[in-house]
Amino acid sequence: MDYLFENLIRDQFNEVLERYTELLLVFNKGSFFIRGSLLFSAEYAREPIKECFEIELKIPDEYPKDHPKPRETGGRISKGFHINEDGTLCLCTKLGIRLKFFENPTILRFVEDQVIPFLYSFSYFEEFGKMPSGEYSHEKKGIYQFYKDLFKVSEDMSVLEFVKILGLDEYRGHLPCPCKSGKRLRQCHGSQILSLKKFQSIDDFFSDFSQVVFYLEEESIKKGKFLDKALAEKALKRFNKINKKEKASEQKK
Amino acid sequence: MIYETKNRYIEFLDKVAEELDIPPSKYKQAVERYKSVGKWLRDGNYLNLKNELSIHPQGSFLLGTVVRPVKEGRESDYDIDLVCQIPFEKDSVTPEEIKSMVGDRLKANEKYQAMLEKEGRRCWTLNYAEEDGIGFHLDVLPSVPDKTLHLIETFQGSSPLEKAIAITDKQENQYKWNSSNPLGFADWFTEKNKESFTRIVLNERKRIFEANTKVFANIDEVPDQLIKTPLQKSIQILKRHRDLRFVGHSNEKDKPISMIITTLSALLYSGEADTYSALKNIIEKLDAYVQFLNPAIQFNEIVLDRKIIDRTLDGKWYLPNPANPAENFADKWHENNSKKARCFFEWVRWVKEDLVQILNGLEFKKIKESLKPLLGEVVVSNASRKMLLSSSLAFQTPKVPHIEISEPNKPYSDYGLFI
Repeated sequence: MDYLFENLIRDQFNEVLERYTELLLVFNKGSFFIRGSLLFSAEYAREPIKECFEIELKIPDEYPKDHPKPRETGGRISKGFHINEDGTLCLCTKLGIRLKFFENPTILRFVEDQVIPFLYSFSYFEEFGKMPSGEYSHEKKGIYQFYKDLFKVSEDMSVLEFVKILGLDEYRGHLPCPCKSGKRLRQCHGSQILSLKKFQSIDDFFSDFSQVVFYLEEESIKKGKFLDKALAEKALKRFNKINKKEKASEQKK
Repeated sequence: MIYETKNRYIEFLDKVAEELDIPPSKYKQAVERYKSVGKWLRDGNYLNLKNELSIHPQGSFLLGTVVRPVKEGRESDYDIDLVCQIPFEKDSVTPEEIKSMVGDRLKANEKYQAMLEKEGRRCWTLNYAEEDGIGFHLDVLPSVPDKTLHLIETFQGSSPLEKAIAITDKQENQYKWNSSNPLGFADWFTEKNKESFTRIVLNERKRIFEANTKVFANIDEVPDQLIKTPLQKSIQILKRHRDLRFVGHSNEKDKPISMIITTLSALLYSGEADTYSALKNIIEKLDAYVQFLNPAIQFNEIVLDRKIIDRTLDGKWYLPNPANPAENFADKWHENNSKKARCFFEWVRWVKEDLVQILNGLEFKKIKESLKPLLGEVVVSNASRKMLLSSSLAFQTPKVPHIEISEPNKPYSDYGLFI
């Protein structure tokens, strides 16, 4: 176990401990975990909630190049509420979690900016039957909604063109910006696109792109229209290829 | 600091017992369920029966020591034990007759027919699924009064046999009689529990009422069964510890039975005012008996303040049911080179390490973490949460950081609707 890595974790944990005294740092089966009771009071739109959840944060080997993986271990959050198949909390889309984490990559900021708001949402939902600050839909629709929010556009085609640029690595700064502002990409959303590329692999962007394509195709079919068929086929072919590659490497493990 | 941890631990144990128990709202629901069953059974027409039969709670439900079972690592449905008393003369009926009498009457009700499990050895079991996902198993035990037992003087004093019953036992399609005395046992237990109960009842009733105003219209509606003494809470914690410690263990079938845990705890309890002290005292006294495993040591050689388990010269163990001394709870302890006896005392050692000695120098949050696999993750988490969210006078609750949430991420789900 790397000495510097352990020191980093301990320092960051101590920072968390100052505010959240009921947490422990443990080392188990080769990884660091933060476990215990997360006691907090949180407020959004003037609705304060005081809560206590039993949590576990797994610190991945690549930390801080990858964010902690959170779980609720007290059995309160059932699988129907934004929980991944592996039991970790689905705080947002993959890219969404990373973007927020890398704004300030510390465990404390992760807990306060992402974990607590999530738990607050759950508690609020239990009490009032609705989400306090929205949520994304399942799977591909959610990915579509996420990118729509991210680029602050309202047109389906704009969303599609943006994710296509990211997914097929086709940045061309001189072309008109897909948001239809009339400006060139490099003078509009260009810097956002270039910055986003740092946060995910090209394969992940391609996966997001495929999901958006399938979602929009589905929606078009429902409305009786068809999306660019060639685009959809291309996306499907490459998506299946990536899936096969992933499955093969999974089986090797 | 150490004092602080101890206070937290005491409060924590109380909350754990509360989590293991039936919550007041579920208790009320359970009572409604069994009263309906009772009414249905009472209203039946039974051949040759002149007087009414009655249904009565028994076992842990009556004693106030219910512990939520754990099945496959998950908190499961509650077991509610009921005895159905049929006023027949024992020698005028056969065990098969009274067993099928109750079974047939239950099956005659469409609703109960659907909930009825396959006939059990001694009981009929009704499975209730409830809206909140937490159900019940109602075990109905058919019985007749049994006047054939005689008053026996044991080293524990004389026993209450007026309420003794004969129950049925079905093995390989043959029915036979067995004797039992669940209501007599409950009387004995209540007597052991009385002093502690009287001391706490007023405050506890008030506390339970204030915490459950949606369940009870007024303070008088809070039943006695919901008032728990340190004796009852210790028994609950011990039973749960036993459940989890033996699950999947090679010795699982030799694990200590609940009747033994309950009886010994009641015999050893000395009126301690908090759950930790009660538990510590019970376990330390039991631990002193482990020397008996050595067949060379006779009871007389050791100075113990009371004799509660005995071992005869032929190596057999004797722990009589205080309410039915013909029943020896430890009658199988000598088998397989005293296998059950050894399991029992090994379990006592485990409890001592896991629940009593754990207080030596560890921070409370570390204690809590280590208790998760021993008492149940959900139970420990809920108990911990209740403790931390309440404001306690016994220990300092931690400061609660406040977060103003702004521009939060929206939660997502990476798969379809999970069913």
